[in-house]
Amino acid sequence: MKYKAIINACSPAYKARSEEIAYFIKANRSVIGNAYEADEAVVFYNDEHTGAEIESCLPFKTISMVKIKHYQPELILNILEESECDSPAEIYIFSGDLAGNELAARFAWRFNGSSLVAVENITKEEDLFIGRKKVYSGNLHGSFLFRKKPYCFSLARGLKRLETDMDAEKKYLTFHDYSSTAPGAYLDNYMESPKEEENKLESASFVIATGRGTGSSKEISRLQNIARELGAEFGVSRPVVMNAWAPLDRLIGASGAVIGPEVCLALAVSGSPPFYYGIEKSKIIIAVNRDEHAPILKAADIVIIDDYKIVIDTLFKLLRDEKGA
Amino acid sequence: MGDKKMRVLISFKVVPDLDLLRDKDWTINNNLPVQTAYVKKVINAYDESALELALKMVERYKSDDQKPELIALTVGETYADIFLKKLLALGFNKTYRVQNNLDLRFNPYATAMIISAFAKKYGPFDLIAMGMQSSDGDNAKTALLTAEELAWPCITGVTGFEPAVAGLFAVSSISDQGLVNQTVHPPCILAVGNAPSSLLRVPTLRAIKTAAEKDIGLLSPESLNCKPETLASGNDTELRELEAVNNTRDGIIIEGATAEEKARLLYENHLKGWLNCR
Ligand SMILES: Cc1cc2nc3c(=O)[nH]c(=O)nc-3n(C[C@H](O)[C@H](O)[C@H](O)COP(=O)(O)OP(=O)(O)OC[C@H]3O[C@@H](n4cnc5c(N)ncnc54)[C@H](O)[C@@H]3O)c2cc1C
Repeated sequence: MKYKAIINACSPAYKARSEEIAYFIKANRSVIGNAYEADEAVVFYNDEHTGAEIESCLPFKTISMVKIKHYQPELILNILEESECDSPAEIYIFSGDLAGNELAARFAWRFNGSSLVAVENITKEEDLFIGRKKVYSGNLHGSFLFRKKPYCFSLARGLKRLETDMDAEKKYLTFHDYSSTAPGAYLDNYMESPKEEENKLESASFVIATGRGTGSSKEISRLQNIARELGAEFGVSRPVVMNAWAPLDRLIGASGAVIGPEVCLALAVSGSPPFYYGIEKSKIIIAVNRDEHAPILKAADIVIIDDYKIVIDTLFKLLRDEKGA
Repeated sequence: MGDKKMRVLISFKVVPDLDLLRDKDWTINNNLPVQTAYVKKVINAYDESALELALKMVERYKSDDQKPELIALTVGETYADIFLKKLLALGFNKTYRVQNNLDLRFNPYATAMIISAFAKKYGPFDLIAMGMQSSDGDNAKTALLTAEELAWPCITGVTGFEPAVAGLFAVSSISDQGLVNQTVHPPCILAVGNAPSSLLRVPTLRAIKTAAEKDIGLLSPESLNCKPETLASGNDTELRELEAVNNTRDGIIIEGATAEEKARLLYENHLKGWLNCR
């Protein structure tokens, strides 16, 4: 089957997202076919990264590089509508990020195809093309039949990555410049405050993740300081963000950062599936919760059933004493 | 601010409160999780934020004649009515429910078609806001398909919106790139995500009493020219199977007389070496 990857390289995390697509393609060759020459990507980029920097690290053979001013879905969809209309692929794979989700659904609509958001894997049963994803806030897996081609889907966040050294490979590149095209008459003014880099939570080796049980913004700041002293990145659950005790970029979970540290110390979180999705890839999960029925306790490697405050304060003191000694 | 009175539609979904089912085992019968039928219903988290952000936006208008008209719409069963009454008590001018008998959990197409048909018949609207995703279907497509059907632009990851000069709207959102602030001409679809400080406010008792007298507009898909057969067959994907996710790890429980002792054991036996050699 002819397939194409669509990548938003205006995002600082574009390399990781592309490597996830590359791994996904490799893992699903039996479904999508072995047509290596069909390994094709459309990459949207802007002045945040140079074209050369992007093409050198993308694991695709044929790349269509499209320069735009900002990531704007309205413009990108119009460009894709034009570029894909002559010979659309049968499968479009979009990255596991916000861009991938919105583009997959809207692109499929325009091409009269079908779409699924946040797909973990695909299978084929005879002629039926099936995507599997989490539903019911991560409590269940759902398998869905795509009813019409093209099959368009974005990947689930934080899937495995295929790190490749593609420098040596010959690539076929084409360039297109839409950097002076406006996304549409609806837009009057547009301002982006770009992130400098990929979220540090996603690459940290030690993360302290805290939840609603901490009770206040003052307590969250105190814990954030302790995390800094212990050399850990600091993350939070959704209620902490909703109460504005911590900024949104600290959020861990299905709708936040997906982390994979050596150690994740989870304090006063219940371990709901949308939160757990974010810490699932941690090598060791240590959970402290005073409720013996909290679901996090069944899903952790090391468990303390008690007041997190005393536990973290004691840990901090022990480490300080050790360092001071 | 422009002279014209703005009209803002917020559409929302009522869902089972899955947070209450956390430590339960899931039983699936005919592709329906049995437990969800009995659990308390809530407004879907992201939709709740959309509703609250709309109330916040209205507060930004100084004079009453300029305040936009707020309309809330849900596609669902009678159990949604208490939420519609609550919204009337909070200051929504009108609320509507499209009585629905279809299984909409995994059919964002049908929901989007109904919302669009409503917008065409009861519009014009300047903004339509809703959550980006619901907690049962997790489809994350309804706002996007509504935008496509109406051929309106759509901003996702919205964290706030407010009036700007000359009838425009200032919309803040989160994207993969970072924070985005844009000023847009209506009409526009806003798909609300994790928006800090957007838990829905609580109405006063007096407002609840007054709202009890007000009517909820009750509609059928047919009254919006949406045929149930087309709503079902137009969905681009079809659910085949649901299975429970298993996250269990075989954890060690650290026992001790006091929390301090447990912390010390955690430190000595598990963390000390690792923390000190990092
Ligand atoms: C579409 C959607 C997306 C979502 N995305 C995310 C997401 O990305 N990330 C996310 O986190 N959530 C997300 N959620 C919300 C999620 O469903 C839960 O509501 C949330 O994760 C609960 O956070 P919590 O564990 O901090 O709070 P709670 O569930 O309230 O848990 C608090 C815990 O603290 C414990 N506790 C209290 N005091 C103490 C103490 N002194 N010592 C020890 N333990 C204590 C309690 O026993 C309890 O278990 C999403 C929901 C929806 C619908």
